[in-house]
Amino acid sequence: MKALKALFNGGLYLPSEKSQTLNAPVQTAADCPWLFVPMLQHAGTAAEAIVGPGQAVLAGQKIGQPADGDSAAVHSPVSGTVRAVEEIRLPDGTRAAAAVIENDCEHRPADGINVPCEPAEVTVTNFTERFADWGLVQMQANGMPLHRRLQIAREHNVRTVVVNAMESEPYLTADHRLTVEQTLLVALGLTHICRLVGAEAGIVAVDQRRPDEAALLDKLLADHAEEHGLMLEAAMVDNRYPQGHELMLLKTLFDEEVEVRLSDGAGELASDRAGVCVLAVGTVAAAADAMLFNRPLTHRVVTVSGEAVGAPGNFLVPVGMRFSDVLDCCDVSPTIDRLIVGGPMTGIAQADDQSVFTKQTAGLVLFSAAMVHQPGPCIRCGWCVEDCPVQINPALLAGLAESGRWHRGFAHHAETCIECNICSYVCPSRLPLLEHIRKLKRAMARDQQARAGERGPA
Amino acid sequence: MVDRSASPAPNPLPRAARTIERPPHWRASETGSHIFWTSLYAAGLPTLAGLAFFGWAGLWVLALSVGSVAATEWLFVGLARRPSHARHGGHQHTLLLGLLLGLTLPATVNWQVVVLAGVVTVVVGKGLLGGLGHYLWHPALIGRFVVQVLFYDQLSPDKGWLLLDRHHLFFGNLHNAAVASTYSSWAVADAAPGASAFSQGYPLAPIAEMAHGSGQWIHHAVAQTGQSMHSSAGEVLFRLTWDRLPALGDMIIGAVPGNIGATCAVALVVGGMLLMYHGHVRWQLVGPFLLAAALAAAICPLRIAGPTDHLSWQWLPGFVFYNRMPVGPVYVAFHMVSGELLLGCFFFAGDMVSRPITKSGQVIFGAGCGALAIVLRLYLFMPGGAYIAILLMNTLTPVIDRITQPRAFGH
Repeated sequence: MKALKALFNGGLYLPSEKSQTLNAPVQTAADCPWLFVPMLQHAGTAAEAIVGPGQAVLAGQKIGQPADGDSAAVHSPVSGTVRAVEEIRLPDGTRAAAAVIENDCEHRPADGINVPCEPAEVTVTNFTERFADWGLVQMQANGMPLHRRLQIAREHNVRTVVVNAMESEPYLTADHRLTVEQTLLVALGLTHICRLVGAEAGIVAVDQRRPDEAALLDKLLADHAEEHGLMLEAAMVDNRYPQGHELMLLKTLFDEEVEVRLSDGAGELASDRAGVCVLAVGTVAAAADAMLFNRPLTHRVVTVSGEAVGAPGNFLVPVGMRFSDVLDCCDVSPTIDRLIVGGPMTGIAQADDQSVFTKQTAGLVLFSAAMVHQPGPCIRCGWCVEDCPVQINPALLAGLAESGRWHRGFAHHAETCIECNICSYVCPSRLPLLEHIRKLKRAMARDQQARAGERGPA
Repeated sequence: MVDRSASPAPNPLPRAARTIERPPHWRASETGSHIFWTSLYAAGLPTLAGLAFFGWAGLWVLALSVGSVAATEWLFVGLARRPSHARHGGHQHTLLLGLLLGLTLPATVNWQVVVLAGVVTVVVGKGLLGGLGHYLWHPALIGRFVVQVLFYDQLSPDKGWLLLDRHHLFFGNLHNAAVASTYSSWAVADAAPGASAFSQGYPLAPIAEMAHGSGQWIHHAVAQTGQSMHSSAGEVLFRLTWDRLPALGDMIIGAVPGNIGATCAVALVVGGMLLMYHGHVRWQLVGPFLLAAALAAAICPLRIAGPTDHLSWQWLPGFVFYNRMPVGPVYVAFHMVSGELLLGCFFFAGDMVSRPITKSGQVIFGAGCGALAIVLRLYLFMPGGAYIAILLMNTLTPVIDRITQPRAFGH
């Protein structure tokens, strides 16, 4: 097993704040009477609802059909009755149709699910339909359907699949608990995904502060490596934020860099061009669950933590469960300053607790102490430049965005930004630097599209 | 939101969050005002040393300088209607500017000079050039430069400079001064009876004397060797460092005449260390600055004008050993500890707004400042050469920034 220093420049050791929930076993969340299961829980096209009001559904029954190749199915996590299909607001602020299901709390499973199956039945030729049918998506913010992700990896002939169990955001421990409690699933999932994308090696990147987790993984991976003729191992990696990002893992594990393009989003897909596909640990475990037991993706592990939470913990929640149903049993302080979906570095603040868990929700972090961040003038301290993990100049790019000179963003490589938010975190003037860079990137993308359009017809 | 009237699902009383803001939802603790407070308390050390050696007169100049800067800033902000000024350390930055400006002035200047410097600092240096975060040159140095041009006699190295004696620290009257008849070192000298201060020459003035041939001591040195000018350069340098310049120890503790905050090398270095410890000034700037200054002092040829207009150059003065005495290294050490270089290095060159933003840019900037400071001191005999060097390099900051952009990941 390797123990690796972070090779990238910049980055920061953030306060981890994980101790409260690090050793708390995953509890199954109490049954909630109503679920609002969104048809859009991935980046791509929403699924089409195939149930209507009054229809009875079983746990694991498909209620949303993938609309096209960029879409994944949606299943009912519980048994009960569909009462409506209506539009709701998702945690990231977008709106999508959702099936409102009244839970009968009997957990009657649909036919054929929860039965052991042969994972070898999922092959290179049929995994696209099977994965879309199981509703497998990348279980991280802005994750695309898993079958699309693996197709992209296949197109690039990736040689290594990296499972990211780093969880570098503070407070969140869901991935850690999942890895500890479902180690075998992670190992099997990695084995089969390597087979499906044609990779010859698989690595699970684990936080170096958790050697037990790494040792257990390493042992299980070694058992499966020989059987499938793969190189599988666990690697302990330094926990300097944002080590959990795809490109930082690429740099630390392989000492390779790759140019990021605007079309890579926040750089998530760039590592494929260097032959490395990075998947979150939850994604891999869910894929294994589906392949081994024919279980569609209907539940996920989330962390509820933060200083406003009296009884923090890790919970297995059905997708479509309202935040309020979980918070009711977490002894939340009466005044909440911030309710954040995801971690405090990149998570999205909510106005209230009426939104729902989706396949991409890693956790809820609640703060009660008010923090006022009013922006002031840039004093050119240079800390954003020093700490930027991809060595761009956020202060300069923010200036370009503010003055509308987005065309100069190309020369300064704004597209390289991986949106880790360190620049805004360290800024003593409290400037929303990442927001400015995002704005710049959007303008640059529009420009690129316009130019492609000009070229296209001619 | 869900239209609850149409929905069959019950709507529990939602928990509302007070703040909906973009990520990140927590921030590093340091803000602009922290940064300026830290600079203020780091500048407190040289201030304390200045008050010790210049007494009430020093306090008066500092108070006037802070007062005039603060009052001008208050007026300017009021007229320009910038209510956001108070946020992110606007007030602290004002205090810091006032204090730093005062530290660059001698304790003996007239009040009009200080007030004018304060007004120019705020109006020209800071306000008209864009305010906090936007000015190109350090505002206090602009103020200081303007009064140096307008009131040269008050800041020139030629006039008599005053310094409290060791029995009258902090509370002595600086203006009750007499020229000491015998003065080898501040630590053992006493002021004339009834006086509380010495009147002395500017510490580095002998270097100018040497270059101009205006000092009698050069004639003596040349006569003593009984040789040509060329071969007596070592003797001249020896006389300079051993006899003419103040004792090295005095210069280190700051017991030499000069600008209020620019004399005490110890206080400046400790204050600078504080800034570096807090990460507000990087060694990538300070290191090249001091290294370049030392190197420039060691290799820049020294002009020595002899008795009969005979001119000679001492090449590589930093490497001269005369009668087995390390004359050259001591000469370099004098350059390094003569205050305004260190004050400029830590408190003015290190100013965030006017230095380059990248570390590699700071290396170039620092080295340029250090080397220029010595060059200006040696060949233009400017008082406060370091201040002017920093202003010049400030001018180049945008260019340096442009050529030292970091190499982006994957490029």
